[in-house]
Amino acid sequence: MAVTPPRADLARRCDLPGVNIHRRGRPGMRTGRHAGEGTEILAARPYVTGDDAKRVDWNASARTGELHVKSTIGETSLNVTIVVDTSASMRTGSARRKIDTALDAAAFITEMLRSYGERPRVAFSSAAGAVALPARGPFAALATLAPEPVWGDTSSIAAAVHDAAAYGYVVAISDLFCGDEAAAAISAAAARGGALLIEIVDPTEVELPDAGAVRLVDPESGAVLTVNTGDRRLRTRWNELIAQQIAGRAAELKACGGHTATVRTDEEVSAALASQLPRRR
Amino acid sequence: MRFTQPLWLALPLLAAALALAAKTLRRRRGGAVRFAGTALLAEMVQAAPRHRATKVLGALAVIAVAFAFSEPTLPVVESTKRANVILVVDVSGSMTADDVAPTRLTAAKAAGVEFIENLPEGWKVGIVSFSDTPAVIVAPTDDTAVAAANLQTLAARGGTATGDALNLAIDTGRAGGPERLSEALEKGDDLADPSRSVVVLLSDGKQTAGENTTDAAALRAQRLGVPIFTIAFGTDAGEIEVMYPDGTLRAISVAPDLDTSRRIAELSGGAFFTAVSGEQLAEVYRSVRAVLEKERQERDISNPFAYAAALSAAAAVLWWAKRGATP
Repeated sequence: MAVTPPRADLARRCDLPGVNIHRRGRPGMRTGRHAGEGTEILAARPYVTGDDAKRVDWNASARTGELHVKSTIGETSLNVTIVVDTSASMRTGSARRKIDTALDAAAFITEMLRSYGERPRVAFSSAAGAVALPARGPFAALATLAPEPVWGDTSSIAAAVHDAAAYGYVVAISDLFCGDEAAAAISAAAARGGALLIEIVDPTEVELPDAGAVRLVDPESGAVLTVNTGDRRLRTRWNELIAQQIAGRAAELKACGGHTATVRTDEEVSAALASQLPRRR
Repeated sequence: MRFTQPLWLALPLLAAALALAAKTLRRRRGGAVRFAGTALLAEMVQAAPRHRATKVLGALAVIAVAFAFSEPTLPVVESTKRANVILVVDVSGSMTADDVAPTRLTAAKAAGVEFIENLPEGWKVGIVSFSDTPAVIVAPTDDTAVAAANLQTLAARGGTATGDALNLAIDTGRAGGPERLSEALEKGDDLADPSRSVVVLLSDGKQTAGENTTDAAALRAQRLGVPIFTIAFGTDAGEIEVMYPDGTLRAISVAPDLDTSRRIAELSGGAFFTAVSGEQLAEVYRSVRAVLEKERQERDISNPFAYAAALSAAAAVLWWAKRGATP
């Protein structure tokens, strides 16, 4: 798998939806221009004229004989976890594989957050645990970290999303067939720390093509289905069902305070996301 | 039920084996497209009930085709009304010729006795002999011993009134027994509820006497549904000695008339045989017996199966075309 580097100019113009408005993950009554000093203690350093007297570390001063102050580390504004679905269904795709598009979307989000000075973590459905991405450097790291989707892999992002929700903001990147469990987990994450669902959609899924009688295999369950795609009624029913599903999921997520964005496998990822994410203020 | 072509019944098994092989081969070969929404699509389509109907209809069609081609036959259920075979034996003077040892008539009697004694089940036998005029020797009866004994008493002299003999044989056969014989002779074609009958004519020459022609008799037989099996008996070298009015004894040729015999059989819907010896005659009688056996038993019922097959196949195809997918 190779990750196409995202367009930095577009990425820097965007922001995560829902964050500025609700200030999730940031305690406090009012919005300020800068981040506060924070309360996370980093170290004790020698006193320098101008330091706030309240910050004197008496224990350290007593031990060393010199005045020391506590230095704190400013909290990073948002703990973001990017959860990427690497189940078998992501391996399909007509123009490009959905997993490749998903990794490109993850790279775009990472570039966006890096320009804020944040370091997102990334988690995958078929591997346990979240890994922090390096603050700088090429996006090839994403490709090496991501496990290749395997046929028959039915792993769901529900567990990873659930864990990431406790950490902060969740960006879930998946396809339309991630399951109801995952959808519920994303809604819960939206209510908790905020969530963005990026749906990777293949054109053949949204509009079933007319290919005559076709044998289809489900990549996850292995079930075989022989379908006559020449039947126009069948195609119309399918298109409507999928449209309904997308709309339903978006509405459900919105009700919980989350957001959705859609990227098709046949369009450029950066442009698609930049047009759907809010502009940075 | 019996099957004339029983090998066709293996067709459904063969078809099932082929279908199974095709299914397993297809699976191994692959050639399917991986589509992430397959499970959802399968749920949406929910084709199971209609697919089952298609499979059932298709299987029924194959079975019906197998039955139709295997030509099933059912025994004809006519227990009360049995059929009659009337032996018509030529006892004209030409039957004394010795080209068939010892004489034509002796050989014919011997073969006839053998035929009567080995008559297939369900047939009654009657005997009509004829020379210048025909006569019913034995009315159709089950009693083969009586019939055989009477056959032995025949003696040869006189001319050949074949046409009249055939007409008498037809009426005797349709009567079905001595009780109705006089009624049959009176009413002729108008006899109500006639028995099924078959006539076996053993003759060695052209008609030389009698009012009705063999053609007329044969056409009447065809109209009434009585097939006439003809046996032209004798060789071309047959000769008899005849006393002429001037007192001289001359030999005249009594070769059998094959054309007339053949015509009678063709017109009436029977079969034509020739025999030049006692053994051949016995062979011929055996063939006739075989035909009688088959006639009693066969009633081909393959047609309904053929129709059922066609309907099932048509329904299956329409059903398959209607729905969108198979699981």
